[in-house]
Amino acid sequence: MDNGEVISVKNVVKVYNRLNKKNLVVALKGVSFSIEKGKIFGFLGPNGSGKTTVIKIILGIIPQTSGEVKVLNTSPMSRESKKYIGYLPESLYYPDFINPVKLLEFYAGLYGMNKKKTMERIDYVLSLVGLEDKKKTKLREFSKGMLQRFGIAQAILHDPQLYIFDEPASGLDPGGQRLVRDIMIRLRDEGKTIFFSSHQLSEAEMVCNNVAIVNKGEIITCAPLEDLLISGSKIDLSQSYSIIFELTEGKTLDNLTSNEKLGMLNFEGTSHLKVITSGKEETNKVIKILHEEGCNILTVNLEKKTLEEVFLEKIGEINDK
Amino acid sequence: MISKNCINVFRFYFYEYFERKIGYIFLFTSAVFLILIMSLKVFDMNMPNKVIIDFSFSGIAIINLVLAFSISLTSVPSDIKNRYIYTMLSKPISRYDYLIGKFLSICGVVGINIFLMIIELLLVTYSKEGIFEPNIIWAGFFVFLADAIIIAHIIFFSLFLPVTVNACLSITMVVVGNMTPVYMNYLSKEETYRISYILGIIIKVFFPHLYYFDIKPAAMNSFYLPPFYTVSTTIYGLLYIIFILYLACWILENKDM
Repeated sequence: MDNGEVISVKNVVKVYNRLNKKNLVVALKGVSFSIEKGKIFGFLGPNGSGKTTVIKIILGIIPQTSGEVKVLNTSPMSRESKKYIGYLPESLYYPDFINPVKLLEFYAGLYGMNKKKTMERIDYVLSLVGLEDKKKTKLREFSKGMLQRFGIAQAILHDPQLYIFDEPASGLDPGGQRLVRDIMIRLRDEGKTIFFSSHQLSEAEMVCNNVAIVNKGEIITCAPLEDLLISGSKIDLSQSYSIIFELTEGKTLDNLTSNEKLGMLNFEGTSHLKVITSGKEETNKVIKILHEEGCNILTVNLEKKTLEEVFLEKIGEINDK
Repeated sequence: MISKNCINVFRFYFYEYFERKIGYIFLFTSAVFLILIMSLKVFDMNMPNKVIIDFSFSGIAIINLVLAFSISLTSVPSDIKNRYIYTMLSKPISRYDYLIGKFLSICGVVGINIFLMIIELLLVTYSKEGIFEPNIIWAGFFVFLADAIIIAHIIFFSLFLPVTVNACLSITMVVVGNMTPVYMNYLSKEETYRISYILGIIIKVFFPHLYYFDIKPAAMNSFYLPPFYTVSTTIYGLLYIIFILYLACWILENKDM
């Protein structure tokens, strides 16, 4: 493991029900990836793709069948590594008979935190997630969004180095989602590492440095987000550009499409028109023609796909095979 | 053997049982029990203390057995089912700490209930005849130890059996465990059947000998209790519990959740 790697997963295979061959389930088929310190790593995949199994292995809740996993340079099964991990589970099941302060005190006790530090951290984390006025309220009276906020509070209580968030924005309103995003970015800026799984790809696109897409127990792609969005298409999008321009007075879209070259392209919009070109040569030609036609060119940008488009494309490729 | 985290888990779940009112329900039952034995004393029609002790110990055994079953049958399975155990095991806590803490918390609730009932019984019998019967304390302690064995068994079975199967098997364990000498006598006469012999061995080796812990006659009749008996029975009970919990920890350690 490199010094900068916080999590290292190499060729991990997980087979459930090994003793019962009829119900044998191969959940992971040689998964490999690594996460560097101070990054936000998005782990994306459809339901049943193996995301939760990977999380359980990283947390040391279940052992892998084969392969190697290192978390903070130690085995995930060791209690030592768990001291430095904060986990937000997907299911919002917490003992509901108790108020958040009492439950956080219990968790702090498991981390061996002293009374003074515990109370300081509880005040801090509850105010960070906006639950400072709910200290005496029992968890059974919490809404789903409040429970999710509480989940974040318990995950960051002991100020760990590594955060594992399973669907962190699930059940949150837009304000709550923004809060989670801000917390993740803040933690990253403090040098913490965040591994999170999500179905909300737009959320992942906003915060992730690196992304892995997993399907049917295999990693389909694992790359920095920027690379994925630029080169994640079937056609070479690194040479695709979007040109946004406006028509001068007296000109209509029909005037442009009557041009032999421009007639082959698709135009979007009304007042500000957008056209996608493929390749630098074509882009230069289109810019020249638009200029000659008297159009005002507003922007020329390298065309990117959204993470959702890349995700669906990658999953689609695998399903087609 | 009992770590700090184990005690943390014990305190947390012990608190939970009282917060969820389960503990209070049984404390209420204990109060009703007191009223009943008080009424036995008032309307005793010259009934001697031993009838009160006999009646009371039957009540203590049944009430606390129901309490032990009702708490421990779903204790661990519900944590696994609702995935709360994931949050717990993601903390720096071993499965051993978790399981032993759970076991101790259930024993704590049952223990408090037995303790209160025994105090009530001691007060009633003392107020009737002015005699303090120490065997009542030993009998109460042994009821607790027998219940702890059953709780350990229920937790052990709950790791791999559905609740209903666990309940049936545990009830069988209680019945057979209390009747082991009867079985052994019966089976020893059936020498011609090998299967009977094997069944006898299984019962003798694997089933807890719960009849060791039934010293109600000694409390009723003020018999002398040899220290060797009380010490050896206590050691047997503790070793049995440790063995079952060791197996339970091993299973939980290797369980895919």
